[in-house]
Amino acid sequence: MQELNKHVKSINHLLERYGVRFGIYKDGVFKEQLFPFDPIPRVIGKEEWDEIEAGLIQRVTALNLFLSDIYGEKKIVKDGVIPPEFIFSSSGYLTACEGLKTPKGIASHISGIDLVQGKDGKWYILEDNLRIPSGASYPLIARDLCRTASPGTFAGTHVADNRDYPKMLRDTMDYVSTGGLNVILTPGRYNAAFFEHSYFAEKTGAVLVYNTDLTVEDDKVYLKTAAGNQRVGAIYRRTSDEYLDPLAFNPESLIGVPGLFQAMRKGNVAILNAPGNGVADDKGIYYFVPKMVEYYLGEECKTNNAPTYLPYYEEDKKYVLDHFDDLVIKDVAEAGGYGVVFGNTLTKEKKADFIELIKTEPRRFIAQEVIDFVDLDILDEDGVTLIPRKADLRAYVLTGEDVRVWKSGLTRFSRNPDSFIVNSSQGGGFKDTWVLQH
Amino acid sequence: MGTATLGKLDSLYWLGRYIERVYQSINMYKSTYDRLIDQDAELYKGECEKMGIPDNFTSAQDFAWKIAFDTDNPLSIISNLYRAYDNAMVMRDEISSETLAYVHLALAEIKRGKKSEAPLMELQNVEDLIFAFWGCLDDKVDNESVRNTVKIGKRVERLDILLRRDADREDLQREVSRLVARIDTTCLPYNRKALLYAAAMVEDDSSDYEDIKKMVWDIVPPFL
Repeated sequence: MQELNKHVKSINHLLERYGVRFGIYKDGVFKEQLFPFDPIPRVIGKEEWDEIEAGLIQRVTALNLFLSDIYGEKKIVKDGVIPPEFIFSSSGYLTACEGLKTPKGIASHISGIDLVQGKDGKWYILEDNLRIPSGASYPLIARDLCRTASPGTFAGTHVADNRDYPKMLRDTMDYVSTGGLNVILTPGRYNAAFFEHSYFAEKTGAVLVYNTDLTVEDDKVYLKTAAGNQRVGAIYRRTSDEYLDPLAFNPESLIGVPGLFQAMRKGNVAILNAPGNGVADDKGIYYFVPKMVEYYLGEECKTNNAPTYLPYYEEDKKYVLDHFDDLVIKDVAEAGGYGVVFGNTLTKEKKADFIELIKTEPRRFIAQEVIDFVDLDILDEDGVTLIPRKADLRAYVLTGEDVRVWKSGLTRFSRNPDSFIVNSSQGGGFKDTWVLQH
Repeated sequence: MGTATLGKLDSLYWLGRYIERVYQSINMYKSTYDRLIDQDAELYKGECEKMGIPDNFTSAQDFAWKIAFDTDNPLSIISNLYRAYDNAMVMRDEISSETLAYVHLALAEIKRGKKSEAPLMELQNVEDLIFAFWGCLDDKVDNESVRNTVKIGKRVERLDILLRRDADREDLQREVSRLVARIDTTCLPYNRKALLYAAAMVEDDSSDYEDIKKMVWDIVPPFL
């Protein structure tokens, strides 16, 4: 791996060559920037990975069962495992999806599960992302470029090849397709993840489309080509639920496809991931995932949640207020590292205001013990010195004919020495993730 | 190109036009810049007139820098390269990451030229990268219709520039015949009548360049 560090300049040149960028809006202006890459990979041994993999398969299987149940019979609510408030007041719960039957019964085809490794060596799940988790393209292309820049690094390392992701994605689309083209629906080139949309289209052979390229006729979806309409069978959409179809969701959406949701309801097209998944990756619902695993699968949950408290429950609220300074408080409606507050960083006045907010809107927040997760070394700007930084791991679980975990993942790190926030939108960088085969 | 939407055809066509515009502009720039160094400082005025560029420049030096590197000037080489990039980056799935890479590299190179004391060096590199772009397009893109749509953009742009620069009729004839040979291998909506008229006019020594120009502009009218 030291070998790889010597080639950081070449790797950065290749990243520029292939336009490995993400978009960001600053003061209302769109800007593209390179996603800072650190060449030192996170390395996960085989046994450790096997445990992570088994846990993730179990977790995503349960989450998919939960989604089918919640928009169907709601047995988990009727049986008192999850209070109804946590379902129906969730911003991710969509009444329009009631009774929705997804092709092959899968709602979360591409799940991005965020984990951290605590200093006790245990892996903890921080978040489940079941809507449009992004980021897989970065370790995918980074691996390719690192192998180009430093082939010697990989000789004899027994690292699982991660370049099968496009095939996994394509297999997933093919499995749920109702017949016709696979397309990737992008909100447009000014979307933060446009690089990923276009890269996956190229690598999977799917057609990259904009909303205006699609039309719905007789509840079937067609791609409008110069040679006439062509039937679409699977849509890997990168547009969020509310903007997906102005007839079903936000009527003011200009980036949606009118009638798309009805076509899906009729079973005429597969949408990956299905609309309405937000109810399952709500930060409040996270608390209940281990209970879901037990409820649907009759198994003990193999993944660890970070110790979490719901101010919704009186007992938990008391704990949160008593231990405010030791906890991280998260607004369930926010994402991307926003709405995250470390109790000990607030001034006296702000703390008092925040506590008042928790008392008046207890459902809006969760509180978690701050997990002191391990630091990973990154190369300093001088290209020589190693400095420790907080890092998480986004693992990708694809559900098609089987539930499969991609043997890699996006390791994100904070570039700020005092921060636990690793999101790219807040200045974080990324690493490749190596999973060893032996 | 069975799945070509009109949006994609438009981007491919304009990608070809802008890449060619950059290439031709660099060539013109090289010869003008050379003469501006120690010969006729007013020479750029004539170039501006020929190419329909408003002469808002304060000096030969001002012209030399702005026409190459000023991103606020929509007619500069760098602005045209940005337009090529805008069209290329949305076509990654059609033209491949490898082909797109040459546009990324050209853009990085011209940005470096902004600060250079010898900008022709960076512009030479941009020109080399454009050649590599065309080579890569031919080699990496299997879909003939995609390749040819980009090339039609290139041909129309070249024809337009040749007409603006009062090129020899022989050059015009060569470009038109290339256009005629290739355009039906694409799905581009085009005006066949205009193409045939243009072809006839370039053969006719008495036809006026201004009239041919108008006809050429009509060959691929805006279709979005």
